[in-house]
Amino acid sequence: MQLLRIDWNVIFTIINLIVLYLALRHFLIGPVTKVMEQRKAMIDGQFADAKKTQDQAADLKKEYEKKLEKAHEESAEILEKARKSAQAEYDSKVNAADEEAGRIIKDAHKAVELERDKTVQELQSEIAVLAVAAAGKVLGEASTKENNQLLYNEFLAKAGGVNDTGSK
Amino acid sequence: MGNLSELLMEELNCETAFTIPVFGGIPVAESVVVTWVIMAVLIVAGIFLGRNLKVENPGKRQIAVETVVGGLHDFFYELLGEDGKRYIPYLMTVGTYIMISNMIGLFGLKSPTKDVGVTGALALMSIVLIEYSGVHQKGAKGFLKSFAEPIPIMLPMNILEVFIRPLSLCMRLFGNILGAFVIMELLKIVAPLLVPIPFSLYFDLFDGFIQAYVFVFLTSLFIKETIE
Amino acid sequence: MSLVAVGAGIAALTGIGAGIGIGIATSKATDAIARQPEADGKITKALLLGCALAEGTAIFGMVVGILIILFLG
Repeated sequence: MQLLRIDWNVIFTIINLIVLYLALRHFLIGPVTKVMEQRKAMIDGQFADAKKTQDQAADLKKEYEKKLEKAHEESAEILEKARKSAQAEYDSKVNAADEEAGRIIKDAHKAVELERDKTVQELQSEIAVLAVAAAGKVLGEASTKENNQLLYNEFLAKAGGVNDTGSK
Repeated sequence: MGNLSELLMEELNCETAFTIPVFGGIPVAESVVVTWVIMAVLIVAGIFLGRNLKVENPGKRQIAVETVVGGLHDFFYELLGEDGKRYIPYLMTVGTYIMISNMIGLFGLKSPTKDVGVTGALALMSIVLIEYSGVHQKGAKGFLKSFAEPIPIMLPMNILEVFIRPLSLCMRLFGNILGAFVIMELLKIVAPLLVPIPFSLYFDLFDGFIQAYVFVFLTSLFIKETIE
Repeated sequence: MSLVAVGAGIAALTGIGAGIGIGIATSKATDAIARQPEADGKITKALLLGCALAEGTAIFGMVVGILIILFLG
């Protein structure tokens, strides 16, 4: 009766189990675990790569946006500048025209003045001549009351004829 | 009736397959021979399945192998944690071996786990592994100290536990398989046709699987407890 | 011989305890899964462990029974 037998076979079984363990670990479990770990490492690496690429893309996009904004600003600035310079040009042109007009008007005024001065001077010289003539006549002729009256009238008539335009 | 019990006894007997003619003859039990058969099958299957593994574009065979090995790995890893990772291949091997041993009754061979010598050997290896894991994790000094925890009075209990744990492991496996075997043999003697099939499904497949699971589950729990 | 058989039968009574224990454990586990279906895996694990330990008593009874028959019979 050998229902419970504990003898050499325990040792055989232990040896069997150790051999089985070493063989399975060497042929099956080891390689499979290694491959799975390698694949995991590979997938992790790929994920990291994808993340890196994505980050780079995001950076580039940000940079582009910045550049675009800068360009917008620049164009606005240029427009502003152009507008300003146009305004300045316009202003200076208008000023110059104004000045020119002022000058012309002044010149005209001056010319008129000059003319008048000349006329006055001529008149004066003529009056002097008349006075001299009147004086001569007074000295030459009798200085009577009638004569004085006559002279005076003559003078008035002469002067009036000359000065008709000026002092009325 | 006497005939039946005789038949049963004959089935229960652990036969000697052959005798090695040295030291006055070393008997080699049937269970050891069956173990050799299982080993041969497992190693050949392992070599076949473990060949040509590729990191990229694995074939169907490799995916199946990875699912099984990876699932077992995850199961034990969850139980043992990072510190106990190195014992996973052993537990996988033992689990596979016990499962196939329990189920080999389906092929008409006697389960090696029905022999108390085999389960005794398994329990012996479990005790060595558990205590070794303690020494490896804590060092010899820390390991000896851990016997006096949580209080020194527990010392005899802790020492007893070292032997009780594997003994209960060994006896549980042996008793379950032997019980299932006895019932199956009785059934086969009483009703040899068709009737044993559903019982065989339960006792050989389900019970075999559960016992293998419980054995490695408890072993890894004990290891975990020791290395903590 | 008959006394040995009686002894073996008494040893087999350990199965009662194991049966009751496993029954209670399973009923509680079913309850727990009904309450918290998401903790399914953990409960199953604990249940298996408990069942294995409870079953141990029955197994020991059976071993004792066998030993009685073998060594006293």
